[in-house]
Amino acid sequence: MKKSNADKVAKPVREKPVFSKVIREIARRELKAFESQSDEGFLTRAEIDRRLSSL
Amino acid sequence: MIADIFEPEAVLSNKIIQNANLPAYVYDKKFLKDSLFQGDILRVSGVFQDYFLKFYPEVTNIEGEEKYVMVLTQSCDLVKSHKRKLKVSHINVCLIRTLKNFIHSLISEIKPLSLGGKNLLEEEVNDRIKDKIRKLLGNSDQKVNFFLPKELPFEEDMVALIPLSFSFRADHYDVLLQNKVLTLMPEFRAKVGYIISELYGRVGTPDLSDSGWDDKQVRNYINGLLHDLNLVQVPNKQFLQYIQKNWSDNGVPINNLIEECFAENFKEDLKGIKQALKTRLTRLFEDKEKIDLLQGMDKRSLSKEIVNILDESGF
Repeated sequence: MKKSNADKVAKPVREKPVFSKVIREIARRELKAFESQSDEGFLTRAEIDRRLSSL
Repeated sequence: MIADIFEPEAVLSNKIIQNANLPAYVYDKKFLKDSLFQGDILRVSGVFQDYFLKFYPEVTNIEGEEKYVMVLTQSCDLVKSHKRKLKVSHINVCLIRTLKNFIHSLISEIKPLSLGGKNLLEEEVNDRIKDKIRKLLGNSDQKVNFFLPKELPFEEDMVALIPLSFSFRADHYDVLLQNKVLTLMPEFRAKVGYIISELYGRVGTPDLSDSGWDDKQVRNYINGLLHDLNLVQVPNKQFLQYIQKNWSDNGVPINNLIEECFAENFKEDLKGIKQALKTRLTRLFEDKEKIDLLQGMDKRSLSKEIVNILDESGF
């Protein structure tokens, strides 16, 4: 049976959060730092794996 | 008051959890005294210890504290009866060390920053070591060692170092048998055999570094591969929940939502500081005497006062 419009659950429209310019800039930096830490972590793990090959 | 970001020693030591004993999951309760098996644990004492000192005088630390070895020779070659002679001319055993000494040597390999009797490691390295130890304790993914949980006569957890092996003539079978103190369950005997076969059966092949690819190049290649497959990393579960809650088909791109979540977190962190600053400034504005004093200050002194207010508010 075809659903009527009334049956459809409308998703509430998202209210976009407002941040100051400074907070946005910090968030951007945090994201970059996270990505760079993750990349650095890859190199550290590869090196440790080599050093701990006897474990 | 400014919160102390450094935890006092006492608080840190409270976090140390007392180690419980791991289950002795590898040993067989049915202890057969009439035969040796692969994986059997032998105490190095009495005549056996004399042999060790005679044939391997270079092996240090045999005297003094109790030493143990594990039998490496395959069980089928060790079966002995009055009708059947041993199939092998020599019996191989390997040294067993305490888990603590073993881990200590590994940590030395990593060369941590040693200060005030503590070894300092970055999180990535520490996590890697923990992963490796978890696999060792479970005897999963072992290539060269076999973990032996504490069980009498062991007074602590031990590790059998399979590559560190010694041979004894099969004539000494009975001496070795007299020194047997623990035996492994059949499936773990087989596991020891499997590790030995892995150890000696490995095929040496060149890897990517031999073709001039370093870790950075491999990492960039993997990043590209995952990016092409639309894999996006987020710092933790909280980010996933935020994105799930706020994403819609025609809405904000995922990357913006990740940034938003960082901003939300930071905003949350700022809340307390903002409140403290608000209280501080309200009090200041109510203090006419202080305001007059500030107005009369030179720029340098005023700047110092502002820094004080920010510091006291938690910045």
